[in-house]
Amino acid sequence: MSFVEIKNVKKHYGEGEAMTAVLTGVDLSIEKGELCVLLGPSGSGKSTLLNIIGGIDDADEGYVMINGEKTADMNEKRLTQYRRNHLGYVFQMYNLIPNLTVRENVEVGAYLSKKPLEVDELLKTLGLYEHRNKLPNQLSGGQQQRTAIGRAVIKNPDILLCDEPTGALDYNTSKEILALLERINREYGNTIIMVTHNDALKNMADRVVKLRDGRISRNYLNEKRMPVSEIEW
Amino acid sequence: MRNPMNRRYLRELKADFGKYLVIFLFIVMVVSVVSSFLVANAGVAKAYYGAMEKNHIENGHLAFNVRPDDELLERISSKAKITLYPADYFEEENDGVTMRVYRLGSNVNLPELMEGRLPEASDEIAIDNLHSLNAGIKIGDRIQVDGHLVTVTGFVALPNYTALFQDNADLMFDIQGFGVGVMSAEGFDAFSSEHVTIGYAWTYDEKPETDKEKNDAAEKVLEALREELTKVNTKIIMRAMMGEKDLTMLEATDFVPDHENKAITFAGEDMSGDSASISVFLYIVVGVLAFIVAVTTLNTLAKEATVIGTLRASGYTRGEMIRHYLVLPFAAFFVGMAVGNLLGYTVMRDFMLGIYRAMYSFGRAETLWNREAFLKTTLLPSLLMIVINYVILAWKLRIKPLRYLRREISGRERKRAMRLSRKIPFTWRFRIRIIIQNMSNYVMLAIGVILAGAIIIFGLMFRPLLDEVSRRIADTPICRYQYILKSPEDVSDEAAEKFALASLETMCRDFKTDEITVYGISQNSLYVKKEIPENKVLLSNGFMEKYGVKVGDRVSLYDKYADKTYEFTVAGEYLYEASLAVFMNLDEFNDMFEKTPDYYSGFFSDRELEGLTESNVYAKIDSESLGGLATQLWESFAGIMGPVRWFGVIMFVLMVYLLAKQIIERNQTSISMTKILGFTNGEIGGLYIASTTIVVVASLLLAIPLVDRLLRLIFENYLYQRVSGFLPYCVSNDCYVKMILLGIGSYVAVVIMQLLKIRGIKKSDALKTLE
Repeated sequence: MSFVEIKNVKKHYGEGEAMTAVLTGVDLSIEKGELCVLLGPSGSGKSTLLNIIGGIDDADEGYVMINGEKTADMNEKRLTQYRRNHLGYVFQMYNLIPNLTVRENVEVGAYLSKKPLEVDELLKTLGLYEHRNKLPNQLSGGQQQRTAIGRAVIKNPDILLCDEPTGALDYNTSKEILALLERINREYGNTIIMVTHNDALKNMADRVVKLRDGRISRNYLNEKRMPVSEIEW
Repeated sequence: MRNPMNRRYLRELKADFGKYLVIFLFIVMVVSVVSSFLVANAGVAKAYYGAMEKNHIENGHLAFNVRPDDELLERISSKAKITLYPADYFEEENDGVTMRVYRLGSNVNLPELMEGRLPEASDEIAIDNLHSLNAGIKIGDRIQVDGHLVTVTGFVALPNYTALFQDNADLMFDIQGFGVGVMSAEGFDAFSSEHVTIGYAWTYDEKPETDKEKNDAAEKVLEALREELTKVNTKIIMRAMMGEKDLTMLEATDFVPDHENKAITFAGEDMSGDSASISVFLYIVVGVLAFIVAVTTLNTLAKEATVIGTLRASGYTRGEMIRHYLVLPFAAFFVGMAVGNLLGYTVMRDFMLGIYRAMYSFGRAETLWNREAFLKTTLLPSLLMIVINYVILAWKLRIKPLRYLRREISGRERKRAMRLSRKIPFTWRFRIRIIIQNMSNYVMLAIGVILAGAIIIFGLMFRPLLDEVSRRIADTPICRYQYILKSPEDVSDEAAEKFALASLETMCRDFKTDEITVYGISQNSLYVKKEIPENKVLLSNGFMEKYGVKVGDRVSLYDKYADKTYEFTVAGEYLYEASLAVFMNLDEFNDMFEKTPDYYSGFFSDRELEGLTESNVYAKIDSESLGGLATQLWESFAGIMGPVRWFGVIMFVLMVYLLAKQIIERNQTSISMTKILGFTNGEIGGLYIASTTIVVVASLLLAIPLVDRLLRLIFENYLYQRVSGFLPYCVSNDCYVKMILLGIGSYVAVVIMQLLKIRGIKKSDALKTLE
C-alpha cells in the first residue's frame, strides 16, 4: 500500500442548477518521500484535491488514506491531531502572524511538534537567520514565503502540502523557493505535494499528476528529475 | 515549549490599547459602583440590624387618646404575652419643621449616641443625627422647643426612626421637615404640653421569627387591645347611662407593629431592594459588555481569518485558538474587576455610605469585606462573561479552516449582495453597504445606546416627575383646608362641610400594603363635585391606575383595628392626587362603619376655620403639607440620581467609542484603498463615520419609545408593587430631549477620535499583505 492512497474522490460545490463538479473521481497513490506536483489549469480541482488530502475539506465520495488511516473516519478532534502530527501547509499567501517576528512565526510551527527541528538551524537553511528578529512587514515576499515554509517544515511533517507557493512571487524568488522545497525534500525526506499551474515545474517532481475538469488526465513518474536551478520558464 | 503565540499578547495590547482600555474602564466603573454599593449596603445593614438588637427596638407601638389605667395595660400585656414600655412623645412645629421628642429613661428604643452626650438638664436635648445634618444644627446650638430655647447636647440615632417617617401613611420619609429628639425625663415633663401623645411601645416575650408569626403576634396584641377597649368603654357607657358626665371613651389612636412601621422597615426593605436591583443592573450591563467583547473578538477573527485558517490547518486546536483570542479581553475584564473591587472597597465606599447616610439615620456603620458582594460583583459577572464569550467563539471556530483561509466566516459571503436602487445616490448606497457589512457591530451599538439611554432617562426623570406630582396635587385639591377632628365638633362657617374619614388597608397579595383613606362625602357637596351613585364609590385616579381597577369592579379593603373587610363597588374615578382614596356618600359611610347617622370626623373648607378647639384638631391638611411631598421625595432621590445620569453618559461614550473604533479598524484596508483612489479624510469620514452616526441617531430616536416602554414596565411591575403610595409614571419630554442632546454631545467626542483614526490610516496599508 502506498503512503498516500486516494480512491475515487468526488467533490462538488453548490446546489441544484448552480452545482459544479470539481472532482469527478480521482484515484492516486503517492509514495513516502516523493515530491509530487499536481498540475492543471485554473478550476481543474488541484487545490480542492490538496485540501481534501490535508483534511481541511471533505470528499463527497471516495476516501483519502494516509499511512493506512482514512481521513474520512476521523472526527474533528482526531483530524486536528492528524494535521498537527503529520502535515505541514504552505499557501500562496504567506498568512504570517503580523506581530510575531520571523523566529517566532517559525516557532509557532515548532510548538505543534513533539520532535521539531532545531529552529536556528532551519533559519540558516532558509537563509533567514539574519532576519530572525524582523516582523513580516519588514520582509520581502520571498522572505515571507520562506518564513511560511519554515513554519510548516519546522515540525518535520510527514507530508508538506504546498498550494501555489510561488503564485505571488517573481521569477527569481520563485526559483529560490522551489529550490528550497527541493532541498527540504532531499534533506529531511518529507513527502511534498505541490499544486501549481506552471507546467515547467513537472521537471522537478518525482511524480507528475495532471488534472483536467476534475479528473486525472496523466499520472506518471518522472524518470529524469531536474534540479530547479536548471529549469526555465 | 511555551506557546510562541503568547508573545503576541503584550504587542496586541499595545497595538489595540484603546479597546482594552475601554473594556477595563467600563468594568472598573460598573464594578466599583456596584461593589461599593453592596459593601456600603451590607455595612449599613449590619448597623441597622445590629442597632435593633443592641438598642432594644420595639416590636410595635400604640397610642391612646387618654391615659389608660395600669391594670388595663397589664391585662393586655398578659393576654398578648408582651411587655409594654411608656413611649410618650410630644411634637413641636417650628419654621415648618416638626420635632418629635421622646422621654429618656424607657428601656426600649434606646438612642445610640453618635456625637456629644445625652441631655441631662431640663433645657437640653439630643436630636437625630440625620436631621441635624440636614438642618445644619451643631452641638451647643440652641433650638426652639415649645417657645423655649434648649441646648443641643448630642446627636443620636433612634433604632425606631432609621427612616424619618412622621406618619406611617406618608409616601416617603421627610428628612427636612421632620426630626426626632430625646430629652431627660425632667426636661420632657417640664416642656411637654397638651400635645403629648400617650404612647406605649411593646416587645414580645417570645420573639416571632417568620412573617406569619409576626402577623399572628401583632394580631394577638390587637385582639387583646380590642377586648380591653370594649370592656372599658362598656363600663364608661354604663356610667354615662347612670348619669355621670364628662366621661371620655378610651380609644386607640395608633397601633403599628414593627413589621408594618415604615420608620423601622423602610430602610431595611429599601436596602434589600437596592441590593437586588443593583445586582440585576450589573448583570445586564456585564451581559451587554460580554456581547460587545464577543463582537470585537469576532472582528479580530475576521481580521486574522487567514492566519487562523493556516494555524488550524497546521493542527492548532479549537481550544487553543479560543483561549488565545480570549486571553486579552478577559485579562482587561479581570484586571478591571480587581481594580473595580479595590476602588469599591476604598474610595467609592465612603461615597456610597454618604448616600445612605444622607437618607437614613443609622448608628455607626462599618463597611466590611463582604463575601456576597464579592460573589455578586466578581464571580457571577465573570461567569457571565466567560460563558457568553466562550459559546460565541466556540461556535465561530467550528467553521472549517478552509473557510477561514477563504475569509468566508461571516456566512454572508456566498449570498448575493443586496440590490440597492440606482436612484439612491452612490454615497448613500456606500453607507448602506457599510451598515449591512457591520450589522452585528451596529446591533450591539443600538442595544448599548438604548441601555445607556434608559440609564440616562432614569437619572433625569425624577425631578420633572416629582414636579409633575406636585403640580397634579396642587391642581386636584378637594378644598384648601381639611380639618380632621378627634371627636365631632360643630363650627359655624358656611364654607365648612362635614365629612367622615376612615383609614383602611389594601389586601393585594403581590403589592405592598397601601393605606387607603375612605371619605364619607355630604350630599350635594360643595367640594367633591362629582356625583357618587348610591351604594357605590369613586376611587381616586391613583388608586384606579396603580391597582388597575375598572368601573364596575369590586374592591376589598381591610380594617386592621376592627378585623373587618369591607367591599366597595366602583362607580368611577375621582381626580385626587394627594392620596389613594375612596369617596362614598356620608350616610352610607356611617352605616358601613357602624357610626351614628350624624357622625362626621372633620371639615372641608376653602378658608381657615376659626372656633375649633385646638386640642381637638387631629390634623389640618393644606396645600403646603401636600405640596411638600414632592420636595421630600426629591431630597431622598437627588443624591443618587446625579451619578446615575453621568454613569449612563460615560457608558454611552465608552460603548459607542469601542464599537465605532471596531468598524473603522475592520475597514482599514478599504479606507486605505479609498485614500489611494483620491478620497479625502473628510469624504471618508462622511462615508464611514456617517454610517455610525446614522445608527447612533436612529438608536437614540428608537430609544425613546423603547425606554418609555421599559421604564413603564419597571414602574408597573416593580415599583408599584414595592412602594406604597402612588407615583404616576410620566417622563417629561424634556428628559428625552436632554438624553438625545447628551447622547449626540458625547458622540461628537467619539467622532473626533474616529476622524483622527481615519487620518492615521496610511495609503500603503491597502498595498501591504499584512498576513
